[in-house]
Amino acid sequence: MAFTALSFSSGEVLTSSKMNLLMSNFKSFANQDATAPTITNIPRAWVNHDAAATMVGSQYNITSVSDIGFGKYQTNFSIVFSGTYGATWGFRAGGGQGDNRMRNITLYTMASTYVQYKGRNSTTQQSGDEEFPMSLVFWQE
Amino acid sequence: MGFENVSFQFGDTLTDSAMSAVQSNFTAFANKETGVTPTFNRAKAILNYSGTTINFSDGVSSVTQNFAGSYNINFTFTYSMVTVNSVNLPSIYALGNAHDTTQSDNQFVYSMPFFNIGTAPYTYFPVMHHFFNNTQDSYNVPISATAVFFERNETGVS
Repeated sequence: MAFTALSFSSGEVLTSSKMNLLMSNFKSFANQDATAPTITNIPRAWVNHDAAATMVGSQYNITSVSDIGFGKYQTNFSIVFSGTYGATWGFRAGGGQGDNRMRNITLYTMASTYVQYKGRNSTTQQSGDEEFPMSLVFWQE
Repeated sequence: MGFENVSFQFGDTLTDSAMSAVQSNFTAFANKETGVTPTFNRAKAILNYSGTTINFSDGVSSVTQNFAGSYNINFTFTYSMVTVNSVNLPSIYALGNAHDTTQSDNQFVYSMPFFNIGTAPYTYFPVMHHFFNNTQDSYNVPISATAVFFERNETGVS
């Protein structure tokens, strides 16, 4: 249900429908429905996916994740970002204590409706792209 | 405006100003206006920057450059140090990653470590941007870096 902009006037009789709308605004606000005031300092979208680009668990404002090459992924938003937005992430990779590779996600495209990124690893002897499960969170004020 | 702590007493006549304040509190809460109770899982400060240019922020006054790839994130508040299992830690903690390249065939692993400043006043966090692979390493200026800061104790009280 959409967020309703309510106003109250002096002498007005409070109706059950108006009070119920006020109450339902809490849920609409919490769900960040389209017309609700935008809550600052919380994520605008997030996604978890495995190494094969299959989304895992819940996601928010995401339509899909595609495998676009070995270790490379594209996440598509269900919203359109206008202006600069940001991303933070985490991942699960590595082979245990004997694994000496440094890893991180390299984000190389940030468009209004999608991002492209890849897993990357390196040691002092070698480096390469790598597939691994990732979680990404997108932020904007 | 600010968040208005509206209270209602038994037998009160409801006024339009009180009811309107309830409604306007949605916007006040959304915008983190004065008087809003700190909220679980909501960042205390957020920042997106390109070098020393701030693209958007809350709770951050400026980004200053120590050298290309090394920056101080300056807050509009002062955090404290808390002791957890005999270890002194900042009362806020940081998440951060950066958009560092536009090349899909880029060969580097990038990192964005934060540092504790260790001494009062606790008004900023240093952060660095660095990359390396098996042939080279260096500092870099991020295209667009994001840093998000949360309260360690989750009560929101600093």
